[in-house]
Amino acid sequence: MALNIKINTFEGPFDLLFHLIEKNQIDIYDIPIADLTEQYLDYIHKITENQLDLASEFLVMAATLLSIKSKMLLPSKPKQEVASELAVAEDNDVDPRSELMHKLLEYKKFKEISILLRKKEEEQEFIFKRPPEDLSLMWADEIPLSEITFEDLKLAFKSVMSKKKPEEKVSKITKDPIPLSRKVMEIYRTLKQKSKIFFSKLYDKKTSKLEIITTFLAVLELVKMKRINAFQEKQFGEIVLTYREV
Amino acid sequence: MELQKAMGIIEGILFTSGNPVKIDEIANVLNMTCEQVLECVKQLEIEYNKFSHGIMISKVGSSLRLTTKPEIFPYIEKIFKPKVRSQLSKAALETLAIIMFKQPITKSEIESIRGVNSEKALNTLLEKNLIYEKGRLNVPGRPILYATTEDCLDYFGLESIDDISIE
Repeated sequence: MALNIKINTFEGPFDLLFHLIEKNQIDIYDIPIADLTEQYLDYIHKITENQLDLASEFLVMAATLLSIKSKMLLPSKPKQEVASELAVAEDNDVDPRSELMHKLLEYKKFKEISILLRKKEEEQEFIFKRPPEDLSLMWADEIPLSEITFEDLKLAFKSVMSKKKPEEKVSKITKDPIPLSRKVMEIYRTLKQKSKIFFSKLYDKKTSKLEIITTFLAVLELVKMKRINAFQEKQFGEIVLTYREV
Repeated sequence: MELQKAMGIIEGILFTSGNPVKIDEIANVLNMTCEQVLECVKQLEIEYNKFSHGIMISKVGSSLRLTTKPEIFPYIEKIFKPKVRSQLSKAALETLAIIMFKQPITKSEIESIRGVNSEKALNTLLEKNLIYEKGRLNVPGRPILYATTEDCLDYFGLESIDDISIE
């Protein structure tokens, strides 16, 4: 993570090169390309160890530096035939570093300008402008009211009123379901007292569906435990519950 | 028109606007020449330079604006606690510097100078209305040409780009 922040401090390969040049007090007009390349690559290696998706621009510059370095290592071509001498001379006279030097110098110029701009930007932080006065109301377009008749208003009112209000959504908040074990105990106690009861008497109109289901489950549970008996004469008929003597 | 009266009107216009106002627009309203307006500005500057004033008038591009003086910032800061204005990123500033002195310029030209992708920086500058798309270069692909806006001069408080001098 720390390295991530580090790379962000360099705005690109030129920025990094520049940093190295300043750090080593290198003369930009006579760049020791081998040294610079080594340091540059060192830096790239450090970054790539932790960050694989390094901006390709940094790698392109690394390749450029290596290419310049190898060009400088090559011995200059010996003079050949007179015919091609001119072309060769031209080729040999050009310092392979010159393009890089020019680019660095140009970049340096704009880097310096950007520092000046930063200073100006900071100066502006100390002064304040007013927000513009809102004059929109003073010159608001007049509404052509005269063209609207009473009939228009009535129609508009009617159409608004006839629009159905969106139905209010009321959602029910149900009580926490009664635990089955408690319902079992309740029914068992009731039956122990009364010995016989209709299932329908175990709940009333206000009882929630969930509670009725819990009640029914409790009955089934009690039947299974052989504590009560349950009878039903016909389908959907009344269920009669009786206490079962142990 | 009387100089004193014109000075007052200019002050009123700039106060109402808040934003910079074009000198030629003011000249139009006052039935004066731009030179006469600038003479008024000079007189106003003399007036505002007195310690008894907390505001100043300045030229940004071909416009005038009224702002507080930087000297009173410490007091404004104490009473209003203004938020620190967000600064442009290093990348955006570099990109803007290049556009300022090379305008109109294409994205690829900017990138060849900076050696790095400048898409994000350009978008930030466009969003802040510091640069605009001036047109397209008549080469294959017809790339967009960028140039700086008047707002850019206002942003840095510059009368012109020449204020930024490099040796």
